[in-house]
Amino acid sequence: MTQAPSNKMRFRMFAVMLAITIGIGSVLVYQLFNIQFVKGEEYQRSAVEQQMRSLKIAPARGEIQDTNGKILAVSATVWNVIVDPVVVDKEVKNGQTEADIIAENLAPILEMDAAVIKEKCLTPNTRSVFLKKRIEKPQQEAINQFLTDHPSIRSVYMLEDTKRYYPYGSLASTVIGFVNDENVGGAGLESQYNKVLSGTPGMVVTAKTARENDMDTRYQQRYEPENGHSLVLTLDETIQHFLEKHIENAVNEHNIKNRAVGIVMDVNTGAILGMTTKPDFDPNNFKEISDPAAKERLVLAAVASGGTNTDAYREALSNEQNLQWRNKAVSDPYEPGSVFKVITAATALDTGSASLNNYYDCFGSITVKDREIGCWKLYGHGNQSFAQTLQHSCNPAFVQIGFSIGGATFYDYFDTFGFTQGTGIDLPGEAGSIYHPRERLSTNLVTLASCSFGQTFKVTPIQMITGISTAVNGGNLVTPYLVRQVVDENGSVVEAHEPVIRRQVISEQTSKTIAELMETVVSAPDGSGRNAYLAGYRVGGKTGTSQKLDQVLSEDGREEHVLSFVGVAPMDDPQIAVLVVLDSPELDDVLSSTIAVPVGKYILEDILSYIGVEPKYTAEEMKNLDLTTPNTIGLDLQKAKDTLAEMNLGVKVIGQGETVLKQVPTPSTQIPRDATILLYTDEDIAPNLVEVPNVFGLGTSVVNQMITNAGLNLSFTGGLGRENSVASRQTPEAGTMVEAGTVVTVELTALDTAGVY
Amino acid sequence: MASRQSNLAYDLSLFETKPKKAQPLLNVVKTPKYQRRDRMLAIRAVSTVAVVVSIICVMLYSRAQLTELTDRIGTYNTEYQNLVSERTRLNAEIEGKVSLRSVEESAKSMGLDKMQAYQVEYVVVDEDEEGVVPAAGEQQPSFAQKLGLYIQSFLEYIHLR
Repeated sequence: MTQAPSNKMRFRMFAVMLAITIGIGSVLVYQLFNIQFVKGEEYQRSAVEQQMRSLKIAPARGEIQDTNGKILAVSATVWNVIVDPVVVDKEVKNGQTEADIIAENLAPILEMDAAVIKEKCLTPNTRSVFLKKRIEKPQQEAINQFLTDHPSIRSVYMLEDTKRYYPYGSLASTVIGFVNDENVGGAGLESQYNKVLSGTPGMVVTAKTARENDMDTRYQQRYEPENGHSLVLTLDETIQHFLEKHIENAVNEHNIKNRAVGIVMDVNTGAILGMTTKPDFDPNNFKEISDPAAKERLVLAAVASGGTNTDAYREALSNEQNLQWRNKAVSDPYEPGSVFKVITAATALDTGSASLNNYYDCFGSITVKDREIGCWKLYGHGNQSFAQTLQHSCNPAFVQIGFSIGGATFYDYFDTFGFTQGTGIDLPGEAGSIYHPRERLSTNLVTLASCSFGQTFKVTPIQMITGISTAVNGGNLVTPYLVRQVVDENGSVVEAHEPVIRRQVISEQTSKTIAELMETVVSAPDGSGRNAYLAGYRVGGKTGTSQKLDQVLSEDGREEHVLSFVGVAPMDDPQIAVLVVLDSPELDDVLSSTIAVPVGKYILEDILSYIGVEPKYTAEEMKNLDLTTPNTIGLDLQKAKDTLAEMNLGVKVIGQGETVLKQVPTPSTQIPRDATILLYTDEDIAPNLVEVPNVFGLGTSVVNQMITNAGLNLSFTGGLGRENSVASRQTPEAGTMVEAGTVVTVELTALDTAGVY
Repeated sequence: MASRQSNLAYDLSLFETKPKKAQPLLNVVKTPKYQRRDRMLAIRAVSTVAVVVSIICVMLYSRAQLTELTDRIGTYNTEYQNLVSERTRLNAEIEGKVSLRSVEESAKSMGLDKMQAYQVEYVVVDEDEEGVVPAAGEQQPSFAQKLGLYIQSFLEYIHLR
């Protein structure tokens, strides 16, 4: 018979169970403690990594728009095509490997060599090789179709990326800049405002299944990205186009060796309406060299260094790229030359050290200490008034004016006009000026003398045009700026830039006087800027030709020059200033020193009509305006003659008929007021072709004679004072065969402005 | 307190386990009412199970649908963003094609030129000749004029004029 356990046995059993319980419990508690506290964070992290997936949401980069809302820079989604060589099937099926199939099908889509694609597919020791970066939607769809048609191919895939588009190509490229491959601004406004444009990335955190699929949205946490803000500029695309067109023409026509600059600025607010440096680049392909001269230099560098894979070549390439990205308007100081005389004149009038009633003698040169400073006019201007010194751009006169101001005062106004510090424009890389200290100007007469007419110191183009604007806008030194507003993706204004007037530099009266003087530079018959004369418009300006004193002579022993012109209009209420700077043109002939002035004139002509400034012709100008050829084709001969006689036009009848069958010039052609119209009244009359004579460099009377003798009509365009002018351009070109009676348009340039300093 | 003085023996049979009395077998005959009740209980049990199973199936199905729809939403969203981006790119391309530079080049190739000053006909305005329009209320009609106007309008009203 079984016995019930004794107390001792019960106690032992209890003790063993307790020991086991405590033992197991301790282990469990220890493990819990270890998992929860000691390694808790680590396991949580691993769990999150295993269970969750986070995806960065790239923010959309903001746009850059011109003042009218035209988009100058915008980002869009593109794709990178990647192949995983490890997954590429190396087995040969039907005579082809997977790499062959990929290469054969993707080569035409990606516009690449099939062999290159195949090589990338077989790259060893890597899981990801870019086949092509940044393809667009049509190509992406084609690749998707290919992958759908070949479901066994899993080695090729695409990842989203963004690409920056610049719809207007190279327009304002040195101002806007570009973004690099990492979508970070590399130059210009893209760099200056990179933080504003970039925005803040977002994130999507989702739970994923064991098969790496996303679980439903309940397990998703989304942190929206903050898209970048957009910039609305002061730049006007139309004005920028006009500026670039004429600057580019000047660069091509006159073989400018060291780039050209053009700036258009609102003189009252400092808003930059246009800014260009040519040659520049296309920000859509910012690494590509666009300047033919630069390409030639690179070819030479490649030849010299033994190929394009050398360090020397890479360095040369990098230098050329940096050069083409460089915004010369803010980064390269230059010697302003006679354009600076406006500042000297303003200083003299404002300080009272000179007045309009002062007269100055010029005998062709002036000696300061032991230095002879020459005038461009060999035998001098004689006695001239203050106004005439500016019109004639007379160096000896301005030396005298500079002395009357004094070195210390000259420096003080130089400083107050803002030439000793940056303008504060919102562009990167603004350079400072190079100038003489106050003590030197106060003690060294030769330095003061040369500074009076804009030599032996350097300022940047943006400083120069800001100084000129100060001189004509009532005396207010403004801060030039490019960004008018910063707006968010909904168009709401986040930040607006108001014009900043830093200080009053000269009095309003002085400013008004300077504006009037600048107008006489263009309107006076012997004004140095008379080639900038525009019928119907009040234009003021100042020319400048400066020597590059700190540079060695060119290969052919010539001294390099910088030609510049600043124009302001309309002078009754100055609104815009245009600065043209041509660095180191090829001076082949005596007329070359006037090439900057016509460029400024063409720019002003286009801009003034665009901004709605209507021409107001004087009676004299109306008299000289060209006419439009009336249409006499089909009219009775007598009626045609009467119509032409009413307009004081000459008539020449060819043929015996009574009805006009043809006329030269054709209807609606521009003709001068004393033109002769040829009326053809018979059919089957062969056109009388004549060769257009070459009139380049000839005086007006000789041009008139040659053109008229050739049986052609002549129309002059160009500056005032034809007596001292010569032909600088003609349309049609010399040697062209045209019908007798055709209008030949000849542009005149004032001869004695050549070599003006 | 029990009596110790009794000489009666204990009736130990009282302490023996008595055999159980055989229970009479009950023949339970349920009435129809109770038969129905039992059937209903069974049906209810089966229905409850069926409902629970259906609910579970529907929940699983809807979860699956939700996941599928979420995937589709994600796909459509991605496609939408891509199309928006493509629209941006194409607009940028159009802007480039109609830029002033392109327009000028095309116009030049067609032999066109920009309008010149001579094509604008200017009109000389003689500033001396001007008309003055009196402001409203400046000239009040006289009593006679008012009377005449009244008679005129009356006659018009009665169709005599």
